[in-house]
Amino acid sequence: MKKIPSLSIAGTFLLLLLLTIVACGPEEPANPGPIDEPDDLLEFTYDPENYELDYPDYLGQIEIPEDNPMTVQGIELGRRLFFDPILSADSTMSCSSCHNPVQSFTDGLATSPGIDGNLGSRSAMSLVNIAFVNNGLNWNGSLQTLEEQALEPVTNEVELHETWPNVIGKLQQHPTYPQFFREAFGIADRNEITKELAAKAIAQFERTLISYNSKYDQIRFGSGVFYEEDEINGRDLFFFELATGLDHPGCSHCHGGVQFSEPSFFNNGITEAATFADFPDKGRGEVTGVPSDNGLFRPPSLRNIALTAPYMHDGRFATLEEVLDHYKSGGHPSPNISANIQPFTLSDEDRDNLIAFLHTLTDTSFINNPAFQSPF
Amino acid sequence: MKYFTLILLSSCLFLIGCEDEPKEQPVTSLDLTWTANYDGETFLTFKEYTYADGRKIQFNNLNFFVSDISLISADASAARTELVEIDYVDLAFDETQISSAEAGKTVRIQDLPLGEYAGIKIGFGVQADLNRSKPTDYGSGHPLTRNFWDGWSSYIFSIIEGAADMDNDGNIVTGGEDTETFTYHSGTDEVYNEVIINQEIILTDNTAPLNLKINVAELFRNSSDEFDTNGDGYLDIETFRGTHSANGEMTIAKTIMNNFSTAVTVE
Repeated sequence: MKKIPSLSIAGTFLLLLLLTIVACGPEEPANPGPIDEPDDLLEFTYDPENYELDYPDYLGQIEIPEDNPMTVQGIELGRRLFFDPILSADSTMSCSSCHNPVQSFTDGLATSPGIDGNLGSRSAMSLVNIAFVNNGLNWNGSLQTLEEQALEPVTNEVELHETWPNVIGKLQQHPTYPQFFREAFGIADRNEITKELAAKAIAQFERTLISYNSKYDQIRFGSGVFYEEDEINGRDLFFFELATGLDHPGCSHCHGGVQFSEPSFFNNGITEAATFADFPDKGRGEVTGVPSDNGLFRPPSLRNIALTAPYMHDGRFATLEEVLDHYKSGGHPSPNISANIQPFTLSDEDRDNLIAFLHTLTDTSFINNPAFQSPF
Repeated sequence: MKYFTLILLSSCLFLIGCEDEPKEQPVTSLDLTWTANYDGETFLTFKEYTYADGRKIQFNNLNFFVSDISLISADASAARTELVEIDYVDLAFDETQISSAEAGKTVRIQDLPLGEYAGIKIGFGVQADLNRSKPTDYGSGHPLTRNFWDGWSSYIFSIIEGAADMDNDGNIVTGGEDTETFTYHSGTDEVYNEVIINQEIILTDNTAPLNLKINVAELFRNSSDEFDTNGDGYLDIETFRGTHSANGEMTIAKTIMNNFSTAVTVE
């Protein structure tokens, strides 16, 4: 049996000191109480620089709230907050844990675990071109603005499971965040940091997450890029309904336009339900309280769809092939299934062509954009 | 006396000057209210009605665009006063929303000149110049931010979706390989339809709402040998379960849009 070596007094002291430092972490404030240092940030310059979003007109219009204009400093603060686990109770998860740039700001999971390991009920939605969504965010359209949405995950028990007072305390005592808040919003002292300002900054960053350099976009630009034959066939299957009757995919009913979405909510037939009350996830009905809205969900943008598996609000389909097989079957019976979900003929070749077209929506310059990566 | 004459002259000039100022024309507001019914019954989604051929039918969507709604002057000029350039009318309410269904969709038009009008013109669909635009041309809340068809470069002027007891077994199946759903999507300039309803409309300080009522059953009227196979004067929905305004189905789309002319009544 080996003898455990005893520690000297000096050694014990050093070990305790080391443990204390490790336990606290380099930027982890312990006490979130108010700080009695009025106007302590005035030494930092407040000179915000306007930021103009740069994107092609054909993508549509982004509405910037009057009380949250885009600035370089606001976006940078938002990016830091987005990637910083300081927003979670145990400093293990950030917004980017479920919205990872590599996966077009999703997490590759059917449903996402929060800091306690508990799974949420829905799959993390991609944030690609989220600024163009104006009919309600989340799968059920429960929140109207990015500013409102940014507040929610922090306090959600199956997500970051923190309280905003705690977060504000941590930010106020942080070595650098007070300066960033000053530069972004002009606050005079760190006690003016609020959850609303944090949410505004995150929203500013999220509005910059614009994709417009996929092959589909390059072809729209007329930049000398052309579809392959299989992609053309896939595009026509996606957009056109030339077959007489209803024997066609009809994808663009719910995924139309340049955002490949539609400002409505649909039941796409993935859940069998005998009555409106039988949907395990009420979806839109949870928001409106209207029974026939149960089981309806927002059609996500298909931009970068090849990067955002698994699919559907509960991540039940692992591949695009499974998705198309579902649609061609006509879906599962339910009282309010969209009438556009009809069984249709789709050969293996046509299925491959459709998927080839969907791959033209992949924008690797978006996911690799340095401005969208973690600053840490 | 000299001063008195001057004051009198100045006053007259002042009064004459005042008389030359234009009078403000009295104006009022008018509420246009859209409601839907099925042969007189309040139209509700997911409620079963009886189709012309006796089978059960239910709906889950009814929406359409209206363009260039204007009042036609009663004087000889027949001048038009535009009320609405474009609007999107969604009349899908389920049985828990009866009051909403009965209230319908209302748009208030302000600052209309008082007077008598000989009728109202309504364009069903999106008029050609607006149909050249796309949803991305508009900000949120604009009627034309939805229901655009890339394949056709056109808005979908009307959407009527639902299901019917196609096999007459007493049940309506929605979803799966035996689904009995239908989708009638009408669009493109070719199917745009303007209707003039000659009806005296008097705008006063306190004008009652103008109620525009759509009888959904009438939208299915069809007397062609090809599409009314059983000769009852209505579309054979069992055989023709949909239109996307393409190929031979364009005729169905056009007929539906034309039917808005007779399906609408003004009260």
